[in-house]
Amino acid sequence: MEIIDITQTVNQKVVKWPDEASPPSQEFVSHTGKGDPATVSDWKMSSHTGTHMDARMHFIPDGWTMEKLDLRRSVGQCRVVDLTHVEGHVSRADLETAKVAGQARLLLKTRNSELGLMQKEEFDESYAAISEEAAEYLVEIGVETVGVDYLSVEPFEDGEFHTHHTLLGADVLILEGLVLTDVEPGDYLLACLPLKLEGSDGSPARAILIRNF
Amino acid sequence: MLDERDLQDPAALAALLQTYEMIDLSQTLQPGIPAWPTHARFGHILYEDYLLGDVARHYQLVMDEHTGTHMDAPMHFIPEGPAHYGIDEVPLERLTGRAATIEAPDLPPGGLLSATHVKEWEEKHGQIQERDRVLIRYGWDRRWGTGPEGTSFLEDWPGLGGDAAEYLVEKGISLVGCDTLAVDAFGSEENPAHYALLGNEVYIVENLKNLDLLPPFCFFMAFPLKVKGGSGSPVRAIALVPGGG
Repeated sequence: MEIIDITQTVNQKVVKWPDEASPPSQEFVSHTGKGDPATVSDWKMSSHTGTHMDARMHFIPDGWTMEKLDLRRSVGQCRVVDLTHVEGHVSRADLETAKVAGQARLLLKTRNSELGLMQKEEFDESYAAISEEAAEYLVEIGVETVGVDYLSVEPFEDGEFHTHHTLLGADVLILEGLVLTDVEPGDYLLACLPLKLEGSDGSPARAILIRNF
Repeated sequence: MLDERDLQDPAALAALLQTYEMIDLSQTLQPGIPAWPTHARFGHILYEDYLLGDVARHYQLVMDEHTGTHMDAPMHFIPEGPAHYGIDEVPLERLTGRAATIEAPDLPPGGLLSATHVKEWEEKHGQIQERDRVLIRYGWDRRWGTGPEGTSFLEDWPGLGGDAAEYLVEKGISLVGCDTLAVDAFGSEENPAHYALLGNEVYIVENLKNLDLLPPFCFFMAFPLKVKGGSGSPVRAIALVPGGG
């Protein structure tokens, strides 16, 4: 069984949203190098650090929170779609051309992966995202889970957050911050496992693909 | 039972998993859950909120690497050598596949599970093989709770004896999971199971729950967060068992 890791490594310098308060921190409680029997750290991090999942409550008051996620939505067959040629944001026409209808779980591989944006420490506001009309199309064709290869499904310019509202409003599960650089487009088994966080708007996650079939 | 050695065809795996029942083996992360006294308590802090005029609701998480259901990386106990590495370097292939669940609910407080107990289990249910994962059900998750209701979880828990840990290492297994705070019993100062397992790159998952719902063999999956150089990580652990819809 071959596993492809599509998770961004997190350290204090991992790329974060420009107005986010603080980077992830790691503070040692004990360390074998100092004569302690074990090495242990405490963590502080945003629930949207690195590769992560949005709960519906992130944008929708009274929406479900992380501990209530149905894990079937993020564990199962998925398709990685090649959208690396798209300039600007992913449009409805791009998705129609890619023939994605009928897929429950979709991961969109864009130029973000080719440029290695998740691995760059500096935030890049020119990233490819999902336009509002493309989000509406995803809802129309019944996609249950959509994943993107930068920190947000939202075009950076959209101060109203239409894409999030469209997707989360229709209860489409959002995976963000995936690293699809070494992933060939095609069908895989996806396992994206978030923490079981009570009342949380999101969770960092480990996301993997089991090889093409 | 589904075994990763048979899974040359992930399409068959995906189809098969659809027919399997998914059992969540993870404790919910919430304020007041049991923790080691020296570790940060789990909690979250409001960063922004639409009720406060922001566009979204968003929390900062505070936790320890060993909060709730979590995995130990070798460097948690191994200070040097080839097994001195962090949670981001644990090979994922070792963390998913067939798992045996050994029942040991009758051990006395602080008791040790012996190699004999493991061998007796094998005689009854079949051999534990190289690469397998091994989950041990002490029934300790019944003591889990928030605040005072979880106090007894932190006292007198049983553990894996050094001889049993050595036996499992010799078998070449990938991972040991348990429903207690630590794989070594309460009060252990030598930590024989931690050293035997982590020293041989056998990964450890602690604070599991729902192991009573598992048959002798299941398909197990638990992946840590990819935090650089972490000594461990909270995980979401799940099992897939035949018979679901």
